[in-house]
Amino acid sequence: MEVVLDANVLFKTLISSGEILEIIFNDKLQLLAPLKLKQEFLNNKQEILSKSKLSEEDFNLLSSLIFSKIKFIPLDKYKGSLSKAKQLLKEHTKDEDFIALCLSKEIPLWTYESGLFKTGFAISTKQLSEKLAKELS
Amino acid sequence: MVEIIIKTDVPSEFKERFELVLANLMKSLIKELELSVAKEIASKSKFTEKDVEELSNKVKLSMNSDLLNKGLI
Repeated sequence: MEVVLDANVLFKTLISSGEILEIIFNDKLQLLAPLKLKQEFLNNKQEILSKSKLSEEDFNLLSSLIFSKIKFIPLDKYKGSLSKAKQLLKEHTKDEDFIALCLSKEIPLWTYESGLFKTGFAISTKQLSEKLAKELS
Repeated sequence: MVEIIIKTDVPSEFKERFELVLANLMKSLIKELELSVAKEIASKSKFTEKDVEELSNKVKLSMNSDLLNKGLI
């Protein structure tokens, strides 16, 4: 199963008690995300370190473990879907990258953004967890 | 990356089967090890729900601004 990973899920790994990490490390799941998300996450490294109180060594190890489970897609591969994403999103103007990637791959977006569930592309952690459990059984 | 070499003796007729089982076992072991390390690090984090919301919004706004600057939306 393939899903696009929202920024809020990536940041939630930093407070995860295990559920999100268990899903990220599930072999049945292929995670995709805009390449820009990885760059932006790393651009904010100092703020993440300051707020999380993690050592730089721990942060580097955790991010490299998580990034190894995500296939990062360059903008060129989904920019053709940006205008359709913009039409779909209306007031949620900051989510175009994610929805455009979903549209180009025809897969859902794993997110915590409640407003995105109206687009029909969103899948919650609970729904994703249930789908993966069904695939295993 | 570092390489760890484990040497063992197996009957020659089991070589291929042994290699296959060992490869699967190592794959599973590495996954469990990676997950336990990730959980251990995450458990030390003082990040909050508010931090998650603030930083993910910041990142998304920057991504959106990049698309606007490139004239793509």
